[in-house]
Amino acid sequence: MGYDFHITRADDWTKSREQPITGADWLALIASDPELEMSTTDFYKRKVDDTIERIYATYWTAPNGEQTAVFWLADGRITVKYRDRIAMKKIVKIARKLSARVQGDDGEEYA
Amino acid sequence: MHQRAVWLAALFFNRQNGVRVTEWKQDDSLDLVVTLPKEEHAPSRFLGVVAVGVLSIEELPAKYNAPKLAADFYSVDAMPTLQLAFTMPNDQGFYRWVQEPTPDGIQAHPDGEWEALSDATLAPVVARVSAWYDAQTEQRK
Repeated sequence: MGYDFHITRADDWTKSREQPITGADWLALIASDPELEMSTTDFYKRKVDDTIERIYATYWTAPNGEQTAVFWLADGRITVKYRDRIAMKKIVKIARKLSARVQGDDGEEYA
Repeated sequence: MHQRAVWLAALFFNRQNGVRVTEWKQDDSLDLVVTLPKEEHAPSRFLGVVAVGVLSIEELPAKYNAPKLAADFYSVDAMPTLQLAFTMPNDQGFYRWVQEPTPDGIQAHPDGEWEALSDATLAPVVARVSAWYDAQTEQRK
């Protein structure tokens, strides 16, 4: 399972649908950041009502090529697993660009 | 009607050279994401597409209503986005910018003029988006 971080605009990440980060927001950010790349072939599927959604992976690779992380936008928030402190800095930077905050699974905030 | 319009929009973009078309079902902010070719290690190049189906030309919407979910749709960091419309009885297509790439950045057009859509009219639109990303890349250097 591991420990997840959530980039959210809500006070509580479990309520991210109420103040969502949209696909348009996320893609605009990806298009402005050469360290991020959304895959159109790596995704997982889920059924929501009668619709099959594809949740696409977005990969971050640090300029040194050593640190990596995978971001997933779903339910109005972006979720990423903890990797290391350098990745954490990137996660916080992304959150700021999106006017959002970073919360851990237990709701604690990271800035 | 909406889904049919999305499929027709995808058809038009799939006929453009070198682009990848992805249906976006994660939220209501977009219907398609068109990914344009880029150099390795360069930022991704996206063109957002929203589609609408109408019964006749008279029903083409005057104003683009950003989806409820996309509260920040007209943001500074927005990406180029087109709206495509199709008349269902005869598949006549139209397009307009809702977020137009300009030398000064992205310009929002909540009530832009509709233009006739064809492979020939779409090609320069795609080329323009590509050129806009080229300019963005140059500015970052």
